[in-house]
Amino acid sequence: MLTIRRAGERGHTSLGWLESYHTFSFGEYRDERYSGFRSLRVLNDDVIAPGKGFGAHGHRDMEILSYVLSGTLAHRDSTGDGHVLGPDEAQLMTAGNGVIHSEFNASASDAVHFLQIWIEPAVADLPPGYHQITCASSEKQGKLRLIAGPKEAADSRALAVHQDARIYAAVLTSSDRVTHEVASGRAVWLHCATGQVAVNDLSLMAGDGVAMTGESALVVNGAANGASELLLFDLA
Amino acid sequence: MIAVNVLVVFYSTKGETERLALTAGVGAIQAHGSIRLRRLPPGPEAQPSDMTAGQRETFERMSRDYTPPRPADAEWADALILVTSRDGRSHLDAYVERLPAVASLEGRIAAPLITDAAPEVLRPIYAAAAAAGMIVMPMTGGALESVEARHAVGRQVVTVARALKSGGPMTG
Repeated sequence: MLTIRRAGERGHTSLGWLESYHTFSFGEYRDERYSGFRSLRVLNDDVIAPGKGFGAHGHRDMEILSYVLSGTLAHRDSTGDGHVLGPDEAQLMTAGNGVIHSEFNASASDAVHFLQIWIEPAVADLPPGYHQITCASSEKQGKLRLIAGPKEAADSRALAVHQDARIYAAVLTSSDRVTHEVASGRAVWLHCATGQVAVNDLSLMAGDGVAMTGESALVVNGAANGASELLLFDLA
Repeated sequence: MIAVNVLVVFYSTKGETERLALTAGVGAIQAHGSIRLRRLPPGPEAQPSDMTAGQRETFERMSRDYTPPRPADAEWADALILVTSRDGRSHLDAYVERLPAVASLEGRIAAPLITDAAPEVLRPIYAAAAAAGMIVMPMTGGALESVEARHAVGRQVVTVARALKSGGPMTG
């Protein structure tokens, strides 16, 4: 069964410096129908104005991934020094038993557009940690590139999350078609980050998502009008 | 589990006091407390032009990363962790002295910490917090040099605040 979550139906927070669209309940936005999907708890589609961002704040027991679509994001946390994240990179912060961090647009002139993803960890009280990987566009072009997965699935090219969750990124053009086999009992959430794709013949625009349960395979086709970027979450 | 809100207020111009505030804040999160971090506005003596390039970068980053405490923050908090250096103590004194005018603090916890001096230097802050009706958790054990010691302070503040809210024993 496929269930579409249209971009325009998401929660929305507008703070002047921040435009944030919430696929699932977040902050003051609450929708019991969309409080998460399996271990995927938060999927925020954020645009932050130049030089602005989220000041220092705390987290606990959450795997927090950031995936930049355009611009650059400066991150700093209590586990160490700061980092700057750009397109073709992904970062994972394991909040574990406690972490404080801040996130700011690293540019004084350009907005940053990124996805913030929270995955509930399988275990609580982990030591906090931070990891970042590079994922070149060529590695995502026309194929699903694993960017995060459980330790046994993640090599040095993917982020190791403390959950049975696999996250893939892909960039598709009109001639591209990718298929993802879904193991029995697992479910998939697909988020169309930019552009337009077709999932099992359902058309998705930027910001749309689709939940898939009880299906054995997902077929995604690129659209004729340019490149599209998507994230696919394969969840226990 | 009973929710506990912890407001961490600090005065820092070069980053050392910020580090103590952050680490104590992480300890509060470890004990399942919710935290807010607030930096007191720098005084006129804190001139970026007198700082090294690295200090100036830290100063500017802190100005971006933190907002000053608001009255609503103190109202929200079950406990306040108040962090300063010797040089910044007068700013923290002034903040605590102003608090009763903006928030009702009766029965809340105040845990003052200092980075570079003996706890006795904090006595004026203890007195101001007690005068506001707060329960003072004095700093013990001298300088909080290890990360674990700093975490322990944050955890202890939450444990005590939770026990006070529940009326139960202080186990944590």
